[in-house]
Amino acid sequence: MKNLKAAMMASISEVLETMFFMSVDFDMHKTIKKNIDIFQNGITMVCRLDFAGPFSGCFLLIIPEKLLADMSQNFMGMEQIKIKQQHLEGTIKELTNMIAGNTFSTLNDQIEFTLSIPELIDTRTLTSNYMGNHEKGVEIITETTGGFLAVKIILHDT
Amino acid sequence: MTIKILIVDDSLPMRRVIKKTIKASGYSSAEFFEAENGKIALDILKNTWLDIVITDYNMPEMNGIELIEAMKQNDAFQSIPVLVVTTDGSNQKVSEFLEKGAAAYIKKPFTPEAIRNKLNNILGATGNEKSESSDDGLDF
Repeated sequence: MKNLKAAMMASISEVLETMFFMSVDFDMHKTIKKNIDIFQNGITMVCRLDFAGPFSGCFLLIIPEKLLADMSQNFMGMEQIKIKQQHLEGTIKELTNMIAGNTFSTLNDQIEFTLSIPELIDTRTLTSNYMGNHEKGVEIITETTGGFLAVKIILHDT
Repeated sequence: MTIKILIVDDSLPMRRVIKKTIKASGYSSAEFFEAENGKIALDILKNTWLDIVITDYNMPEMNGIELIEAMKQNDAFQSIPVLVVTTDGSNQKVSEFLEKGAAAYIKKPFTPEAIRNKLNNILGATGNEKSESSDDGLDF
C-alpha cells in the first residue's frame, strides 16, 4: 500500500508538471471525506476508471470545475472563453487515464494492468458510493497552483 | 511536400495537444486528419494517403493494437509507419506494440521533445523531410 501511494504521488507530479505545467504539493494528513467541502463548494467533476491485474479496483479523480477549466486551458493552449463542456470532460478523462496508467507503470513496469475507458460519475454519489469506512485503498489530496484536486484508488477484495 | 498525419485518440484534448506539439516541432505545414478510434481511422486510410499514423492504445470500438493489426493485413496501408502514444507503459504491452508492427511508442505524459525526436526518426527513415527547422527548441 505504501508503494502504491508513492507511485500515485510520483505519477500525479509527473502528469501535472509535464502536461499541465503545474507544480504540486501533497497534504498527507488531509482525507477527502473530512475535507469534502473543498470539493463540494461549487461545481465538481468526478471521473472513474476501473482497472484489473494482479489486484483490481477503481481510480477516482475529483476536481472542482474552475480548476479543471484552468487545466484545460493549459493543456490545450486555448483561451478559457473557448473552453466548452466537451473539453472539460475530455481533459478530466485524459488526466485520469494518464495518472492511472503512469501509477501502474511506476509501481512495476513488468506487470500488466487492463484499464477501462474513463467515465464521468454523478458527483452526488461520491459520498454515498465511494467514501465508505470499510474500503481498502489509498487517497491523496493534491494542492496545485490553482486549487485542490483529489485522487483515490479503491481496491476490490480478491 | 506536405506531410499528412493521422491522429487517432478518443480524447479530443489529447488530439489537440498532439497536433499542437507536432506543429511546434517543425511540421507547421503538415496536414492533419483526426479519428476517435481505429474504425474511423481505417475509413480515413481507405480514402487518404498518409505519411504516418499516431495512435492511442485504449480506445472504444477498435483499440490501437487492433488498428495496427488491420493496417498490417492490408497491402495499401502496411508500409505506413505507426507511432503509438499511450499511458500503458508496461514492458509486455510495449513489446506487443512493437511485435505487431508499430514503428515506435511514446508513453504519456510526454514532453514535446519526445514527440519531435520520434517523428524525426520515423519520417527521416521513411524519406520525408520536415517543413522547417526545429533545432532551436519548441515555442508554445
